[in-house]
Amino acid sequence: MDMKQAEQLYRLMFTNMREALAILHLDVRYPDAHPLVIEMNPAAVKLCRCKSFNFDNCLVTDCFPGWFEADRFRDSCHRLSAFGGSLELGEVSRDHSFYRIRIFALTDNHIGMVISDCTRYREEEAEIAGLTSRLEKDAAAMDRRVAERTAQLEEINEELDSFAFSVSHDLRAPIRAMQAFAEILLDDELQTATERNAYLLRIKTAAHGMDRLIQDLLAYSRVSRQEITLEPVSLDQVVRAAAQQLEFAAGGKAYRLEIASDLPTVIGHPTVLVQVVLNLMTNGIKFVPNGVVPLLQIWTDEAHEYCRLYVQDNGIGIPPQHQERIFKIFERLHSMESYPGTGVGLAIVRRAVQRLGGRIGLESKEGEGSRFWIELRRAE
Amino acid sequence: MSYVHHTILVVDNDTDQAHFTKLALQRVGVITPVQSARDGEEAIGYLSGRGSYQDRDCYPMPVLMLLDLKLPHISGVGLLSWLREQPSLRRLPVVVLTTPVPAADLNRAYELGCNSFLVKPNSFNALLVMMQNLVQYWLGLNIAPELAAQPPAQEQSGSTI
Repeated sequence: MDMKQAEQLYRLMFTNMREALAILHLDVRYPDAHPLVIEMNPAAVKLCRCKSFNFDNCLVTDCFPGWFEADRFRDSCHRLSAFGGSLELGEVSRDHSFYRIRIFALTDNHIGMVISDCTRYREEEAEIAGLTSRLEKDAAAMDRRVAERTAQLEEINEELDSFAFSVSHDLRAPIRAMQAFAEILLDDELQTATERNAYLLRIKTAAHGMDRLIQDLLAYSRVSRQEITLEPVSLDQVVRAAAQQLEFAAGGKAYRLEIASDLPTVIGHPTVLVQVVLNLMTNGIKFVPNGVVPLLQIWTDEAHEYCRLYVQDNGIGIPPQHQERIFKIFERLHSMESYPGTGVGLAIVRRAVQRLGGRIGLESKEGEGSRFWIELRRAE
Repeated sequence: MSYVHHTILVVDNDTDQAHFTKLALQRVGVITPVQSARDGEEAIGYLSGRGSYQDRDCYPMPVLMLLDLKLPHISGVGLLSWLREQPSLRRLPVVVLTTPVPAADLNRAYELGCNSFLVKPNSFNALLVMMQNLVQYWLGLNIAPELAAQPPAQEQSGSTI
């Protein structure tokens, strides 16, 4: 390849480069001398803002006004031409585009300058940074959710554990009783007819108690699992329906019921709410001292967004230290003889109120009756 | 073998269970009437000799207590910890006779000084065998501790050195 052809190829290469290329001349005899542009390719010309483009006589700061700090650029060029090598000058932004500039020593007094458009690169980088930070945020959120979920599951597991223990205890007690009574009856001829009768009666009672416990457990499970669609429910209707069912549930036991008029409409579920109110009412008439006629009072108290329904009785009351316990499943404060029950009723009530998005609580002193309340969102 | 001066106190809230335990004890030769308490309060009343329990001829101090852990109000574990704080009663041998409980409760019962831990069997015949072993060991082989002669400290007056 002869020189002429080589030169032609170099020039073509120089002209067609997409990067802006410029050749600067530096008078190294004078350290104060600024580099001058002596050659540019078309890509560089496009960027050049020089009004009167004039090779040999054009300051870099004229061609690219505002891109460089003149003195520092001059010093960098002098250093390069003295020691050789190349230098990245960093990035410059112009009209929404970004340019990366590199200069390098060509000869003792010539400097090459490459200006490459890195806008796309920058955009991609920004996109990557955005994605990375989103990823980090997602990962952190995921971590948090995993931790929350783990805590929830642990709690559920513990609940399930104690649930299993309680179920096995409370369900096996009547089975054990039935089995033992039957064994005694089978093995023994020494008993009187009265004793035998009493034993058979105990077997029947145990079977009945077990049946009630299973029914209550099913009700508890239903209220925990069933799909509940929340809708406006009139507390007037709920309390009336519960009062009707209470007549059956009381089984002829005398009681008095005072219901305030004009109870509001709340967000809930009709059958679930009737069950809740009925359970509270049956509780209220159950736990009274012997000889006292139960008196139930029902009224509401409306706050801004919520409404509290109160069910007050004149019963034996609940000492403060037991007030949290009574809502737990299988918790019974009294012996079977004094106040029979399965220990599931209030657990059903609490679970139901939770499912309705409400709260439950009570105010009570021993011997002075109890005032249970449930708090539900008001319907507008 | 029969046991004549060996009062056992059964603390169980389940009257059927208490009945079985009593019956089984009678069948294996415990002639002394088995005493019972339905809950922690009643047991504390009995042991400290309050009210009608003052009559120690009718309600003698037990040599052994059979304790169910599942009690209303004061739990079995609570009763046990009360017992071990009473100077006159703290040595009373206590055998826990209960339905299965979580391991934590079992360990707690031992920490509070129960002397043995038994799980109620389902069958009455199994209960008979268990009670047979129990009385042979606790009323027969085992040497009982001395309980303080005076009833509970809070009912004593005056002071001694």
